[in-house]
Amino acid sequence: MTDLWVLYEHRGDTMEEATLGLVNEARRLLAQRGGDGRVTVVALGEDLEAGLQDLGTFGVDRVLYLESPDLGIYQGELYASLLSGLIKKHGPDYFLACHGPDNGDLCARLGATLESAVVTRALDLAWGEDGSWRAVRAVNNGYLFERLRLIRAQPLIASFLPAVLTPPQTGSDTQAPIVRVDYESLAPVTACELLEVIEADPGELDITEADIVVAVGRGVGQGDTFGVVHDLAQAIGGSLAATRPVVDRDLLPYERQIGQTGKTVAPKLIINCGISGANEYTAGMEKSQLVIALNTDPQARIFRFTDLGVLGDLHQVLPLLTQRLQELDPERG
Amino acid sequence: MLTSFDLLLIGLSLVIFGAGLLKLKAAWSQGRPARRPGDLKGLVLYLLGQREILENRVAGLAHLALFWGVCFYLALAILAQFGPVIPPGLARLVSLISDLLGVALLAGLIFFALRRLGDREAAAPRGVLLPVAVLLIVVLSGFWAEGARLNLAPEGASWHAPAGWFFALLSPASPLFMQIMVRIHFFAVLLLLALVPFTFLRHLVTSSLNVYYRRQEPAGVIEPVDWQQPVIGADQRRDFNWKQLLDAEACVSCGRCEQSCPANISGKPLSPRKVMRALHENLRGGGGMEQSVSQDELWACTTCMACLEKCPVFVEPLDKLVDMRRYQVLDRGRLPSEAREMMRDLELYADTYGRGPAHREDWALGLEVPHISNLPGEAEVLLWVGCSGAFHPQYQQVARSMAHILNAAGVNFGILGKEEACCGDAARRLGDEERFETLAKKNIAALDKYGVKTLVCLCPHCYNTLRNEYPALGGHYQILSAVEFALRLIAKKRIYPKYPLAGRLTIHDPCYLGRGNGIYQPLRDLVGSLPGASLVELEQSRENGFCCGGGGGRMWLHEKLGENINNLRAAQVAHSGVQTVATACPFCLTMLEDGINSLETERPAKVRDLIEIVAMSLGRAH
Repeated sequence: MTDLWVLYEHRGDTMEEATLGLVNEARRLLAQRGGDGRVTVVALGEDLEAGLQDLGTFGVDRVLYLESPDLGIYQGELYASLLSGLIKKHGPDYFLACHGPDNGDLCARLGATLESAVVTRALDLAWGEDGSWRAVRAVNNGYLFERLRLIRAQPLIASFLPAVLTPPQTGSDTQAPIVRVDYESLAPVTACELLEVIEADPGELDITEADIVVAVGRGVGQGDTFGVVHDLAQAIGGSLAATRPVVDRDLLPYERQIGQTGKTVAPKLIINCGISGANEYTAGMEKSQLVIALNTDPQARIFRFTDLGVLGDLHQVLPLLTQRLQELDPERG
Repeated sequence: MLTSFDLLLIGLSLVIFGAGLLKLKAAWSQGRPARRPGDLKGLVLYLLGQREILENRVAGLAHLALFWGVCFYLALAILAQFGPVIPPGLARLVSLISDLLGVALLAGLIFFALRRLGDREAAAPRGVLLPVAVLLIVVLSGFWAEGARLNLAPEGASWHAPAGWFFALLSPASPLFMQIMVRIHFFAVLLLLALVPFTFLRHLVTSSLNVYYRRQEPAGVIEPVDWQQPVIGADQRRDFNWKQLLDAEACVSCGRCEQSCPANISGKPLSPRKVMRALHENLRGGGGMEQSVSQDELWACTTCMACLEKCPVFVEPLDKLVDMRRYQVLDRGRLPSEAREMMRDLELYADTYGRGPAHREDWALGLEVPHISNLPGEAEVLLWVGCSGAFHPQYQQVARSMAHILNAAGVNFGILGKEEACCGDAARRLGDEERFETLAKKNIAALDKYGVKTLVCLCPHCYNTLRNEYPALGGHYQILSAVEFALRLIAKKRIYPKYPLAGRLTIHDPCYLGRGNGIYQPLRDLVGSLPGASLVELEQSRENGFCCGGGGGRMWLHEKLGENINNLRAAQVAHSGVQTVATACPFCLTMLEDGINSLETERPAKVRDLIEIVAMSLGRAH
């Protein structure tokens, strides 16, 4: 019986959509190979149970859950040691993960330990006419693609690009049993020990990497008025960015400039404070997901790009917003 | 009369002079081939009047005195060898003229000597003072010999030799003293002749040649790359063409280019004069230009052509800078990082805004702007919209205004729409010739496909590129600027501007209309043809117009050094106290508006394109 393993993707204690995309992919592979088999989700972490409950409804047959406080964050050596132990013990035919910096590392480690085929940045897997697996993967930062034949795949290890994964419709109301794996029995062997994670100051993050960007424009005014914006960025955990005039005034370094002569950003949330929205600026932030703008001029062009536009002076509005954010999350700020 | 020893000395001096010239020629002949037809008439007219040199009043007059003084004495000395018999009246007149010219020459020499001594700039050429000193000796010894002669002559000093009379007071009545002075004079003249090819006096020959071989096409036209050459662009001296190297020999470092260069004025390290000095040093020392011209200097140029306009001997720092950029980009892969995204957009979408051909016609949504293939009958003109007209939200309004003007005048016009690509101006001036050629060929193929004959360009950069640079790639069309065409429509009474303009207005000359193509007056005529126009000229206008800072690809580069050029220009505009600044270029529009906003004045002047203003006067504002 074919056993397909899917690595559980989560952020904190909630499941990420990509997990279901992988389950869908596993179902598709299973159908290609005759349908006889099961899909197993492997979850590593802490306090994940809530997210694991409903997996059965998406076509998962069972869940292997490895829980330990040591698994709170990804550690390549530890994860690879545990998983290779598990794989050797259960002998699955496939191990599928969603591609990202962590899983790219993990799959490479597993491939080396198990001496088996690895496809990272996978776009497609298909059963070839000669009776072996064919894969397509992206190379050169996604500019080129390769087609591969997998000669030795026991198990077949693949990390799929998230963009090619589509989650399934909810199907049955079946429950998938959650099988807890004893962490101690696996006795992971590592050469390094994690002592401390040094958190990056969100305000110091490169603006192209940040999930939340607080951008400031000419409306911030001259002189010592930058504090309100700084406080908001701190409270919301955002990275500070600016338009060119603000950078010209040396209020922020050039690395933090958005626009035609600066950087192009696409954060999950961007808050534009005192920015009128000239084309030279908006060219650098149009692809942001959620756009909020705050401006005193109702005619400002920036409002054409916003999901939420606020009419007001940033010096009055931002302190209130910062205060509210601090009430919600007193640890920040 | 000349002794055989004298003749030997003259011969020796001539040989040194000739050998030196040959060596000079060998230096600039190291360059690649270039086709430059000579212009003898232009050279003669130039030498007679020296109008370009006189642009700088004081130095120009000093130069004129030197030039005519030396020419006169040279002619006199040669004529004297034939012992002509001249009536005493004429002889006295010649004597007076020569005396006065001598004084003027002396004054000019002292002016130049003091100017060089006062110049603390390290880049100033060395060896300037030597020929000036020798010339001083020539003039002074001449005067003293004349003074001694007058002391010895029976008639003594008289009205026809005022300077000689003055020097007679300072010299003894001794034949020996006169002889010594005459010999010093003679030796100094021969020394001067021998010095010509080895000191900055070489400009007598090289600058004259540079005038002779001057560019016949409009300023700032960039020549195509010869892809057969082993190195693309230029770094070593052999990578430049001979005319470019002759430029370096012709430059006397007068510094007029530097004084008018917006990059230099705004505190950036670039100076066109220093670039020419570096090339001159390079001709002798060798090595790469990379070592003498830094990246900050190289990329600071806005290609505004002020240096070309100001150079009295038609030296062109611009094409050297572009060739050096080509080398950096195509050979070294060193395009400034900020411009990479735009260059990639050009590659993928063929526009500078990265929107793609699918959106090229969006600006015309709901307007009567047909594709060129959908016209009833033959097209009168094709409207070349350009990337800014098609995609820049503000300039889209200018494109819409132009469409309105054309429709109001009943012009049978069309556009290329999705088949129009970026003209390639920015790519070419940022050194990516490959990108430029690809875009240009694409456009030429599209224009030829529809048999387009006449184009009207909204943007001066498109105008310059299509008009002056496409012919070299096989694209020959009649190109008009939108300003010229609108003016023509008004003159032929095809449109009637009727709504008066409010407030005072000034004109900011776009470099690529003005200095690039000599279009200054049509902008003024167009304003003048609108009712209620009250035009105020900026202090720096027309040929002296100050760049907005956006040309030469600078629109996409970060201005990290010195002041922002657009802010300097905006301050000039604010100083003029006008309500509106009219320009005719998308880059000028954006840069000036941003500069004026940066000033944060109470009532900032409005920046508008002339085409928008005309459309408003027709009663239609978008």
